[in-house]
Formats: sequence, structure tokens, C-alpha cells
Amino acid sequence: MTAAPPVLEITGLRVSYSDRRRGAHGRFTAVDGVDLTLARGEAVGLVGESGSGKSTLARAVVGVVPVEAGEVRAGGEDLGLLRERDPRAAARRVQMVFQDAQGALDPRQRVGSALGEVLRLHDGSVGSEGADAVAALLARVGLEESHARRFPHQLSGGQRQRVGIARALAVEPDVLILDEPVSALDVSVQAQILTLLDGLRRDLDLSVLLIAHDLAVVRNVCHRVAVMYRGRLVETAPTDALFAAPTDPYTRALLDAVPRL
Amino acid sequence: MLSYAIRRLAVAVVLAFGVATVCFALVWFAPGDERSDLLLSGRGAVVDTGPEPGLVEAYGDWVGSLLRGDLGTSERSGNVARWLLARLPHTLALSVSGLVLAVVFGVGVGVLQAARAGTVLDRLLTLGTVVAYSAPAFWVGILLGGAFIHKPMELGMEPLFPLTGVAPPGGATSLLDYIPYLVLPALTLGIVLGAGIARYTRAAMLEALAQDYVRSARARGLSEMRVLFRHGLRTALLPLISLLGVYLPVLLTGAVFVETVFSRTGIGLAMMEAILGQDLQVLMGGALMFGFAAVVGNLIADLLYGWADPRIGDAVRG
Amino acid sequence: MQSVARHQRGGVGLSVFLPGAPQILAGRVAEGLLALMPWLSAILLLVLRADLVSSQLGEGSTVGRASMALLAAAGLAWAWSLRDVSTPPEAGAGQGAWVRIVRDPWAGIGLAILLFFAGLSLLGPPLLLPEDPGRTQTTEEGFLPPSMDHPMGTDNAKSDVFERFLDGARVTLGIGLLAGLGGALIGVTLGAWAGFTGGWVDRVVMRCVDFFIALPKLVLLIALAALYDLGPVTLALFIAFVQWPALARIVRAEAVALAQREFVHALRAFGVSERRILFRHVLPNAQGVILVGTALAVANALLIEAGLSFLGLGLDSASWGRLIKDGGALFPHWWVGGFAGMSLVLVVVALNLVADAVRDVFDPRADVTV
Ligand SMILES: Nc1ncnc2c1ncn2[C@@H]1O[C@H](COP(=O)(O)OP(=O)(O)O)[C@@H](O)[C@H]1O
Ligand SMILES: [Mg+2]
Repeated sequence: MTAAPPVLEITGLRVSYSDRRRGAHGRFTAVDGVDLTLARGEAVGLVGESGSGKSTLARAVVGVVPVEAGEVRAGGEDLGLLRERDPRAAARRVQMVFQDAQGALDPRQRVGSALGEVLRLHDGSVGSEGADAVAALLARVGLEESHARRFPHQLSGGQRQRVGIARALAVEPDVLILDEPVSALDVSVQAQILTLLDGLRRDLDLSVLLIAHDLAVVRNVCHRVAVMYRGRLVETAPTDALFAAPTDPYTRALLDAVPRL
Repeated sequence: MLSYAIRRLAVAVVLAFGVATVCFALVWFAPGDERSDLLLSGRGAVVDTGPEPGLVEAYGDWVGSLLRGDLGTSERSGNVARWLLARLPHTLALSVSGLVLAVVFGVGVGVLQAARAGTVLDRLLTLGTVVAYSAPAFWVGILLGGAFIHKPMELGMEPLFPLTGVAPPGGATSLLDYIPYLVLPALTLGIVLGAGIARYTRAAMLEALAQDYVRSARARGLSEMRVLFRHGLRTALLPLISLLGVYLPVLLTGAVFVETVFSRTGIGLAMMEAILGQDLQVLMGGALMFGFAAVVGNLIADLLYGWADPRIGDAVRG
Repeated sequence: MQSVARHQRGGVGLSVFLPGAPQILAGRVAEGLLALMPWLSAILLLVLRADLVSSQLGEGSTVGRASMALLAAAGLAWAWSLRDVSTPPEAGAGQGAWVRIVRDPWAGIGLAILLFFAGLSLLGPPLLLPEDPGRTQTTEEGFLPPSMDHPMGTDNAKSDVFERFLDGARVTLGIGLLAGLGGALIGVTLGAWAGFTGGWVDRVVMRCVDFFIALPKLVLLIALAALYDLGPVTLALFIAFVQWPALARIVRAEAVALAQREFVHALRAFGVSERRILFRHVLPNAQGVILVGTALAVANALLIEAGLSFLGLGLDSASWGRLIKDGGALFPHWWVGGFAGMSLVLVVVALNLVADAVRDVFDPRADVTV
């Protein structure tokens, strides 16, 4: 148990964007020296106000924005190097469900074809085998086979979110990062998606990094919570401990925003 | 602004070199006779006799004589540069008056359409501009010539405009004498180019008028005219300046066709006559002149644009 | 009548005799005309040239094949129209982009015009020109006005203008199509590659584009055509070569915008290759501008070919531009150049109408969610 390296290990991660307002070569550091570790089967919540750098962190991990400094290791291997050598293998280590569920899907591609494309790429299942795999994926996230024929704009917000999760699951990743999967949804739909996630994590022994901008979302499904503020992690603690005794003033402010039961 | 202007100037110089090079390449790869005629004629005495120059030498000669303003000499027309320059005013008169008409028509029709958007008038004008936009200049010229010159003649009447040429046979006594000769050719260019400008203006005006601040200006009770011109036209016109740069090559090639249709002795017609008379120096000289004219016109459009919108200097630099 | 047309129910009767008519009455001009035209042409052919058709049908000759094609198209149109009229419109069925383009009345007219000229230039020569080719060459007199014998009159060289018109349609439309599509192919490839890849590739390609756009291309083409002997394919190639920059510019702009879209990032995160993202995701999403640009490129190429032949610089064979040149001043012999000139404008207008409709349908600012 102790011998196995963590499925995801982020150390000293720094990411910056070019920022014209700070001069011709000015840069704005959106993520600044973040350390975070995920064990197999663990669910960690990443919480912080809008603009604190949560999405940037996630995007850097999956290689959508370049890492400026620090390291991202998956199963003990440097993920950046792995991605250069074998992009598909890297994709199977860590997968992400993007914040903008509709924007993350090609508007001209039917759901079935979007899922099939990823399946084909990763395990080569084509034809009827591929169709079966697509149907199985859809069933896994609580959608019906008929949804495969829809275009993204013909789905509801919750359904789109499920499609995004299904597509990420298609590669059978070790780690699934979900960027604010429920922020845009009605509260009742939020609960459905969170329940689905919790079930998937248990069934597939998945590690989950669940991003949210308020603590209530992560409370019931995460073992640990990391609080992010202005590009840094200000506090990381087991969920119960954090809710019971927050150490950071910012965490306390966040907690105050959570409706008490 | 100054550094913007310098940059545009540098681009124009590079472009001009490009034009010279493209023309040179046309000549260099041309089949036998034409090629040696063109390559050797620029070098005074060596016509016919000298040995074929190598590529580098020939290119150097080509650029060198261009820099001196020397377009070579031809048996038929003598000094090509002088021959073409003598005809340049007629082409310039046509292009400039055509452009002015085009802007007047185009902006006028476009504003009218935007002001009456969705009405029958707007629809009819939209159809009309699509047709005019689709018609080649030579066909529009032939139609106008048919309607105002040849149909009346067929019916035994006086033509409304002179048949061909640029000036009365005996020579012009005043500037006014030129105008009847200019009307139909300029109108042709005005219609063909104006249609494109009208389509652009209509779309740009509608977009500008849909902006929030224009709506609120309306709500404040500003008169419709004021809204249309102060807010709509101003925003719409700025990009039009750069559009004119794009239209410039169209204007110049349009001149070739219009001069051919109406037998106006400008540079375009000179080129066509040169082709018939195997006077290749004049042909290439004309091509070079049109090429350089396009470069200069583009430069002017760029500078006007930078001057009209000071922000552009920064944006382009960035 | 109106309500009949609207519901397309009682249209069955009409559809039997005039397939396409109910659809036109219901405002679906393109589909209607596309069905009506081959039907009417086939009937006309059968009435006017029954002897020819009956003797040649089933033979392997050009005439036989052409009449077969026309009759088959008419049959298809008939079957389609009947079936369409008798199926009730699906309630609340979503309309895809293509359906909306075809059902736009102006685009419909444009498509119908294009189909008409395509059919005319392909099927016209074998079916409409007399079998004996010598007959039309030596007509009695030059400059005969249009008549039954010579539907478009004769020219100064005593040739039948209609025959030259049909030949010209093939040349002008053929070269225009070839050059337009060729230019589009180069422009789309380079533009999409530059815009999607970015970096120095983008800068180099766009510098070239800026350069070519600033050149007075037609003047250079004139010099080219005067100095060199061009065959149809080389001519099309050179016309294509002056077309590509405009297309590259618009496609590049679209590709730049698409490259920043989230779904492209998502695909990368799945390890999908850059090439696949470009060809399977970016290009299909740019199909609106690609289509508009291609239609306009074809229109432009037609005009360039006609323009060069008008100046006497095109191919030696017939072209509409050549016919217009030979027509000279429009009066008194308006028929020599008039038909070609009007047809040229008509085809270019049609391409513009289709392009406008495509632009409207694919306009990102328009509401595309159905
Ligand atoms: N592509 C980008 N270019 C420049 N700045 C960006 C970009 N994306 C995000 N930012 C900035 O980085 C900061 C963090 O953004 P983000 O990671 O999206 O925050 P969060 O997901 O926590 O809301 C914000 O200030 C945002 O404005
Ligand atoms: Mg975010």
C-alpha cells in the first residue's frame, strides 16, 4: 500500500498567462506553487471563489495550458513527458470534464460519434462493438441509447454534463477531474450528478478531483477538501475537520456562505 | 502614428519589389522570342545582338532600370515610360471619377437601405446590388453603351454620348470637353464597384444601429437623421476606408475592360493594343504601372485608415 | 388553392402533372424548381424531338445517354414530388442547416438557375443541336435575328449563336468551376493550416496572402495570357492561383477562432491528433465560410475566364466572353452577345444568392440552436 505512488501528485505547480495590461511581456500568475496529492479511490474537493485559478490548475494538469514551473506526476511518472511521448497513455492517466459542458463538445458532432471517436482512439472498438460500447457508456452515466443520436444543443444541461463524464470515462482514466460540473445546474439536477459521481468513484475505484466554488457541493462526496485563493492553496484538510475547525480566515468566509442545515 | 506609417511604407516597398519580381518571372519563363525581346530591349544598343544575360544579371538589369524609371524602349512606341505616362491621365481620370461615383452610389444606396431596412424598397435595392455586383465591368459597359449610344443610333437619333475616345477629334479646348467622354466609362466603374460598397455599407450601418448606445440615443429622442449619420455612418465608414484598398486592384483591372469597351486611350487600352501589335515592352510596362499603382493605393488606404482611427496604430503594432 | 398549397394535401393532383408545382406554391422554391425543371425539359424533349429520342434511346450514343439521363431525372423528380406531397409534414421536426439553405426562397432560385445551366451545358449539345454539324456552320446569312431555326440568331461568321452559346457554357462554366474549386482547395488548406497551427506557419502564409491580395491579379493574368500559350487546364490553374488568397484569409480567421474553442482543447486532452482535430473538427465547423468562399471563388473564376476571353486572351475555343466580344456593341445585333452576357450575370447572381443564404444560415451571430 505504501509502496504504490499516488495516482496524481502535483508539486510546486505554477501557471501564468500573458497579460498585456502589465506591459508588452507582462504575465499574470494564475496558479502559484500548488501542491496536491490524490490517492487511488480518493475524492478531493477543490474549492475557491471564481477566478482563484481552479480551472487553470485543472487545465495545466491535463496539458491544455502549459506548465511554467513545478511537476505533475501520475503513478510516479512525469505526466508532461509521458504526454509528449504518448498522448493517449497520458490521457488514460488523468481525464477532465470541462467547465463549459456545451463548449467542450463539437457542436457538429452527435453524442454517439463523439463518444465513439474517443473509444476508437483508445481501445480500437469499432462497428457494432463500438456502438455497444457507446451504449454501455451512456447507460453508465444514466443516459439512454437514443441520446447517442442527439447533437449537443439538443440536450439539457444535466444531460450534457453526463455526456462529458461519459466521454471522460471512455478512456478508463485513473483520475477524473471535474471542473464545476454542477455550477450551472438546478439544485435537484446537481444532486443527481453528485450521486452519479459518487457511485462511479466507488464502482470504478476512480480518483476524483471535484472543483466547485462553494463548499456545500463537495461536502457529501469528498474525503478531503483543498481551498484555493488567488492561485494558492490556503488550506487542505479532511472534509469533516475542515467543516468543524477551519484554520484559514478565507475558508471561514467560505463556510459562512454555506447555508446551515 | 509615425512608426505605423513607416512600417506601412516598408511593406509597400517590399510589395513593389514583389510586383517587379513577378513581372520579371513572367518574362523570364516566357517562350523564346518574347523573352529575349523583353530582356534585351532595356539595354539600349544591344537590341537583337547581345548575348542572353544570365538570371542574376537579367534580374539586376530589370530592377536597376525600374529604379531609374526606365521601362525600356519599343520599336512601335519609343520610350515606353513616356508613352505610358502620356496616357496615364486618361486612366487616372477614369479611375478617380469611377471611385468617386462608386462611393457616392454605394454609401448613398447603403444608407438608404439601412434607413428603410425590411421595406420593399430595401429588398429591391438588395436584388439590384446583387445583380450589379455580379456583373462584369465589360458587360455593364456594353449595356450602358448600348442604351445611350448604340440604341439611339439604331433608331436614327444622335447618340447621347460620344462614341469612342477621350476627347473631341480636334482636341479639347477646355476641361469640360472631356466630360462627355468620361460619363459612361466612369458610370460603369461606379456601378460595378458601388454595388459592393452598398452591400457593405448596408450591413455595417445595420450593425452599428443595433448597438446599445445608438438605441439609447434614439430613446433619448435624437432625430432619426442624427442617429443615422452621427452614430450609424460614422462607425460604418471607418472600415470602408480599408475596403477601398481592397477594391483598388478591381478599380484598375476594371479600367482595362472599360477602356477596351469604350476605346479610351488609357494605359489599359495601350496594353491591349500592345498585345495585338506584339509590342511586349508596352504590355509589361503597363502591367508594372498597374502593379505599382495598386501598391501605392494600398499604402494610401492604410495611411488614411491609421489617420482616421488613431487606435489602429497601436493595434497593428501589437 | 392557397390552403391546398399550404398543407400540400390536395397537391397530389397537381403533382401528377406538374411535379414540383405544389412545393413552389408552398414557398419551397428550390425543391419545386429542381423537380419541375427536369420534368418540363423531358416533356419538351419528347414533344419536340420525339423522332430523335425514339431512335436513339437505348443506343450507346451520346444522344441516347443524354436522353436517358434526362428521362431518369424527370422520373425521379416525379416520384419525389408525389411522395413529398402525400407525406404529412412532420410536426415540430427540426430543420438542419442544409434544409434551411435549400428552403430559403432566394437561395432556391439561385440553385435552380445553377441546375438549369449545368443541365443545359451537359445535356444541351447532344439533345438540342441538330445531328448534322455542317448545317449550322453554313447558314444562309450572317446576323440573322433569332428564329425557330436559330433560337439565338447567327453571328457575323454565319454560325449559329445557340451552338456557340452551348459550347461557351461548357467552357466558361467548366473552367470557372475547375478554377474556383481549385482555388478553394488551395485556399482552404493553407488558411485552415495557418490559422489552426499559428506561429511562424501562420505568419508566413498570411504574408503571402497579403502580398497576393494587393496585386492587380487580372492585369498580371492578362500579361501571362499574352506571353504564354495556355491550355484549358493551365488557364484554370492560373485562375485558381489568383483565387486562393481571399479564401485563405477568411478560412484562416475562422480557424483561428475555432482553434481557441473549448472542444478543441478537450479533444487534445483525449490525445486526439492535431491532424484529426483539424480535418474532422475544425474544417467541418468552418463549412459555412468554406462554402460561401467557394461559391464566390467559382463566381470570380467565371468572371475572370469570361473577361480574358472578352479581351481575346482566353482559350481559342468558344467561351461566353468570346461571344460577348464578337457581339461588339449591343445594337443592332443584340442577340450575338446578349444571351451570353445575360447568362453570365445570371450564373454569378445565382452563386451570390446561394452564398448569401449560406452565410445567413451559418452566421455565428444568427441563432443557430434549432
Ligand atoms: N486564457 C486566459 N488568458 C488570460 N488569463 C486567464 C485565462 N484564463 C483564465 N485567466 C485568468 O486567470 C485567473 C484564474 O482563472 P480560472 O482558472 O478560470 O479561475 P476559476 O476557474 O477558479 O474561476 C482569472 O483571473 C482569469 O481571469
Ligand atoms: Mg473555472
